[in-house]
Amino acid sequence: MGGMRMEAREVRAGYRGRDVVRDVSFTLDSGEVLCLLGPNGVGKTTLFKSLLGFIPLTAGSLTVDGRPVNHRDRKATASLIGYVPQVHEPPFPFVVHDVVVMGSISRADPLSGPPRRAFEEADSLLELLGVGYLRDRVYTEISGGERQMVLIARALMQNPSFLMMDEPTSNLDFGNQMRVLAQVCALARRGVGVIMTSHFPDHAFLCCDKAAVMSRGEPFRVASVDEIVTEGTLERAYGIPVKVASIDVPEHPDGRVTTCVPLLKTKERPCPCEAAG
Amino acid sequence: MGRKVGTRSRRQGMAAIAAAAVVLATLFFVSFMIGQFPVDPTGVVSALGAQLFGLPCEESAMAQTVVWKVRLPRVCAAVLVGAALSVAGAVYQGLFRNPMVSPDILGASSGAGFGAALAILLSLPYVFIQVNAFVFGIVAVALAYLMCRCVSQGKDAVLMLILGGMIVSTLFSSFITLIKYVADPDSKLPEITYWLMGSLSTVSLRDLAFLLPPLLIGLAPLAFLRWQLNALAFGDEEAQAMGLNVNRLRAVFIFCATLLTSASVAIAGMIGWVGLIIPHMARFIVGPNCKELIPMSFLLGGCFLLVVDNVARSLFTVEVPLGILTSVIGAPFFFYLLFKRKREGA
Repeated sequence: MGGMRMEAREVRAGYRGRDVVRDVSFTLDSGEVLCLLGPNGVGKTTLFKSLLGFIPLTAGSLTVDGRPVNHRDRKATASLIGYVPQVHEPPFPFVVHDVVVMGSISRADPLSGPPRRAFEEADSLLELLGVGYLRDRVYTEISGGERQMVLIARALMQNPSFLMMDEPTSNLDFGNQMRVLAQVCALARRGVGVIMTSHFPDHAFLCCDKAAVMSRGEPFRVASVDEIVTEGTLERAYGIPVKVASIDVPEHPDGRVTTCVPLLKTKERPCPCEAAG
Repeated sequence: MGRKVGTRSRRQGMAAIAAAAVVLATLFFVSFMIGQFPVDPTGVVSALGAQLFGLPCEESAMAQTVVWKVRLPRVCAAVLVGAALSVAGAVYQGLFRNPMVSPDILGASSGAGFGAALAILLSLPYVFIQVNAFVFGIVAVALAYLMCRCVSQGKDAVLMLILGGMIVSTLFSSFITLIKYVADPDSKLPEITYWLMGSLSTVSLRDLAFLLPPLLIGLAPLAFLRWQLNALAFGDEEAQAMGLNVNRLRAVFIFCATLLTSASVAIAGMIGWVGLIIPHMARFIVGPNCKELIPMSFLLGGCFLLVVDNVARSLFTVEVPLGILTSVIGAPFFFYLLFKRKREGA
C-alpha cells in the first residue's frame, strides 16, 4: 500500500441547514492514527457521518491524493474508506464468518455473491486479529471485545486505505480496550490511516500520532498529540480540572509514558461536589 | 482446521435445502391423491401422463378431470402462494431488521383486500377481483413508500416506511369495513367475507397463469441479489459503508416482495401467518444467512401451505377457510419449535 493522503478542507456538516461542525481541516497520511476527542454532543459523530458520506457535506471538500471522494459512488468509496461502527447487536444471529465475508460486498459481483477467495481472506483476517477461533461462533453470542474485532475484520475486507473507527473502545473492559488499541497500532504499522473517536484522552497518548479536541466555540485544529492534548485544551473542552503528567516507565521503549488524569478534588475545591457544580 | 467446520455448516445448509426440496416434491405428489375423491398413485401418474404427453390412460374420465382440472391448479397454487408469502416475509424481515415483520407490513394485504372487496361490491367480472386485488396491493405499498420518501429525507427511512405502511394499512382496512357495511348482507357481504378469509378452492388453470408472471418477476431478482440483504440487516449506514447503494437496493427488494404478496393475495385471499412464521422456521434450520434462508423459506412455505390446504379440503365435507387453518395449525407448531429450541439451547 503506497503512501496516500486524505485531506479535509474547510468541511462543514450538519442537519437541516444548521451546521454542527464548522471549518474542519486536516490531513491524514497512510500509517497515521488521528484521535478525535471532545465532549458529548460536540459533533464528533456528525463529522464522522459526513466524512463517510452518510450525511452530505454542506461546504468544503474531502480528497484522497488530491481526488475528491465521491460518496455517491459507494463502491469506490468503500475501497478507500472502511467504517468500523460502535459495537451493536444485529437482529439476526449471523455466524461470525458470514459477518466478515459481508465486508467483501463492494468487490463482489452484484449477482453472484462473494467469490470463494473472500471466504479464505475472511479466515486470514480473523487470524491476523488474533480471533481466528471465533470463525464459527454466532456474532450475537460473543463478547463486546470480540465483536469489535469482527467488525474491524469486516471493514478490512474492503481493503481500505483509511479506516474510520467510531469509539472502538466503547463498552469494552480495560483489557479489551487495550487489545483493540494494540490492533489499531498494528493496522497503522501496516500502512492503514486510521481516524478514531474516543472518550479517553489517554488513548491518544497510547496509540495516536495526531489528535484534535473538538470544543464548542473553538476552531478545529489537528496537530501532534503532545501539542493538542494539553491540560488547557482538555479543561476548556470538558470543563473539569485535568492533569497531564509524564511518568518514568523503564519497561516502555521510550522510558516515559504520558498520561492524563482528571482531578476530582483540587486544593481550591477540596470537595468533589463543588466541582460538579 | 477451522475452515472445515465452516464448509461443513455451509454444506449442511445445502443438504437441508435439498432435503426440503425432496419433501416438497413428495408432498406435491401425495396431494394429488388426497380429497373427497381418492385417486391412487398409479391413477395420478397415468392421468398426468395422459394430459401432458398424450399417453393412453385407463383411469375414469372423472379421475382425470379431478387430477388435471381440480387438483393440479390447486396444488400448484398452494405451493406457489405459500412459497411467495414466505419469501416475501423473509425479505421484509431482513429489510426492516425485525423478525416480527410479516408481508403485510407495508399494507399490501389490506390494499389487495380492499381491491377485491371493491370489485365484488361493484359486481365486476370474476377476473377483475384478482386484477383489482393485485393492483391495489401494489398501490398501497407504493403509497407507503412515497410517504417515506416525502418525510424521511434519507434519515430513519426504515422507521418511516413502517409508519407509512401502518397508515396505509389502517386506511385500507377502514375502507374494507366501509364496503362491508354498505354491501348487500344477503349476497355481497358473505362473498366479501369469504374471500377475505382466504381460499384456494376455486383456483383454475387460468388463475395459475395469472399468478405465474408476477411471481417470476418478483423471485428472479431476489434469487440473484438475496445475499446483499444480509448487509442491510446491519443497518443503512453500515451497508452504505460496505459499498451498497442502500436506497436503490431497498426499492428493488420492496418491489419484488410486494409483487409476491399482492399476486398471492389476489389469488388466494388474505392468508396470514405464513409469511411471519415460515422464515423463522427456515432460520432455525439454515441460520440467518439469506443465501440459504431465502431458498429454504421458499421450500418450507410451499410445504406448509400445501399441507394446510390438504387439511382444508379433506378434513370436513365443507371446506375450512385457509386463513383460519394456517393459524390453527401454524400457531401450535410454531410454539412447539420455540419450546424445542429453548430446551436445546439450555
